[in-house]
Amino acid sequence: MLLSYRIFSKKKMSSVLLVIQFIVSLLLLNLMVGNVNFVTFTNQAFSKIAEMPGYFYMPVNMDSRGYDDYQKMKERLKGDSRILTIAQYWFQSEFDGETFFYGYDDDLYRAYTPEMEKGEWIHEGTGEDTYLPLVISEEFGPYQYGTEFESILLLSGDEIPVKVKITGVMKRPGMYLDFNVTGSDIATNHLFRNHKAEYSGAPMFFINKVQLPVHQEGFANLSSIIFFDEDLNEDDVNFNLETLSERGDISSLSDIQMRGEEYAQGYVILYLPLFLCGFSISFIGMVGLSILNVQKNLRNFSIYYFLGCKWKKVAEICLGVTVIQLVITTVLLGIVFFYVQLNIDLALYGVILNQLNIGFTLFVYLFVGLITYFVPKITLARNSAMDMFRINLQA
Amino acid sequence: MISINNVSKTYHYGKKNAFPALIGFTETIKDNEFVAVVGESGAGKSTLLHLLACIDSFEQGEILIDGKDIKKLGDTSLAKMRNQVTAIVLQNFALLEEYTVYENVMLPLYFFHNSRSEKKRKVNAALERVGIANLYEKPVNELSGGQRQRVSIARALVNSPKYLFADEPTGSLDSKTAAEIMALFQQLNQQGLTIMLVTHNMELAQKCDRIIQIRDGEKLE
Repeated sequence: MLLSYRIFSKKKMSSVLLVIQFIVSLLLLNLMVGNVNFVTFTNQAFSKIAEMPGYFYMPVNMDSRGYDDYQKMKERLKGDSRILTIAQYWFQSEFDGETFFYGYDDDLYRAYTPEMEKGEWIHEGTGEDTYLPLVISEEFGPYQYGTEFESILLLSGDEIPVKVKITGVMKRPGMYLDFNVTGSDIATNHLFRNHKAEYSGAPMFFINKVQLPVHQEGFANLSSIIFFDEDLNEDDVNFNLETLSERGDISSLSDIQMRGEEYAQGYVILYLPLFLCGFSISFIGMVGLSILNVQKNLRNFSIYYFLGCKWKKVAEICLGVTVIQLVITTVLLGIVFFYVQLNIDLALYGVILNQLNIGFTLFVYLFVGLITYFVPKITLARNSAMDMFRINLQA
Repeated sequence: MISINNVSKTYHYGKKNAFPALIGFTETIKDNEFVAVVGESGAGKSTLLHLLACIDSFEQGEILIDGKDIKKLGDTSLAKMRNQVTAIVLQNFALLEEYTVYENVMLPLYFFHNSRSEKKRKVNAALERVGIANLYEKPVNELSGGQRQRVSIARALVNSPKYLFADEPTGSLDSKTAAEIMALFQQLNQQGLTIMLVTHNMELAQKCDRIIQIRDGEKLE
């Protein structure tokens, strides 16, 4: 390893160039994987919701008169036994901007269960709880798993104190269902959001709305998902859809998923070749530069051989140089991502970094490692040390 | 002792452009001898030296170094032979240009286990032996030809080998420096080192114990 370090430090310019090349290639790779990951992620998350019969309903903006209208319509729908539920959420942001409560309806939190880092996703509770179970998007500041605290919620016009306990922490990136969208062409990727505590000062809180001490309606002009009874016949479906369409746009859950898939497919078709081209050029450059670096050192390697080094050891020395370069690359790449994550929420730009990125990055590391081990090994095994020495002298 | 028995070496062996460099060469080098190998360019002198230094292969015959048939040695044993029993000095020095004198001389000590203090002691001793201890921190690309050749010799001596093979070691040097290097070889030989020197220079060759003449890959009797 000492000799590898010597080679690395003596060939500063080529080492720096190679590290830059590695970083560029890996950044491109990670962006590519992160983008594809994002568009497929929301589709996978939504697929469970799409299995349930139902419609996404987005009311038009209403004035006060329209609000009454909407309430009436909603009551009418709720009274219809053929409608299973109108899944909505209620949202409260504290005025000091420190807490963000999302209250999901029963069917809504059951429809989508995110991956958890710690504890469990929203549940009904035991019924004997002295606190309201709370799930957070990430641990942040005083909001840690198991913490209990008191908060004030504005429920049905009154300030109600509630005691909550953090019983679950979502896995990063914490993607949650939030469908207060605009536009009628809703696809799956419109229905998920990502929250980052660094920007807002607190994580997002999720509770079961049913467990609130005071009944709280969802927002009047907020979109909802209408889950129908599975036994509902086509006429009844059409009747309900007609009622809904009086005051807004409707879209079936299966259509939303289909549009999501089309979007994902289109996105991949549009951007993947671009990313692949960029990555390929960069990757070829990276591998080429690695090989060139090895070739440039062949004279030195033949001297090593004269002095009692085995070819296998030479290949190990080359590998050692690459390991040093990759360690530096990893550290720098880590700093780049850390800095970017601090300043930009990549998920907002359609990039999710997770194990898949780490997997692909490790694959590239392995590939480059193999190249730098086997290229000198094969080159040296096919030629005599003297040939190698002479070739480099002529060069 | 080195026994060379009926050794043949053909470059590009088995190919259309194959040409023989050594043909049925036989010779014995006794311990502590100082032998010169002379001949015209392309006669096969350097090839012979490379074979003895275990840095090239041959297809026929046998070479025994201290009774060990080098053709039958495995990779590790052969590497150990190059590292600790034989050493080579080349006309163009074969130094690592970006490295210092000290780093160049230390290089052979990395390939087989040597403690840190052992490395330091051996390098210092080798530098003292060739008279360049004061240059140890200098990058070799800042040295004169004669100094560079001394570094190359110090590196060859660092593991106290029994045999030193020098391929035109004075070829790139002026006559005064060449004479100094030759004097150094003579001194090393007197200290017990067996040396084989390839040269065009008959004047230098005559300072050796014995001269072997080669023409077209064959020994002239």
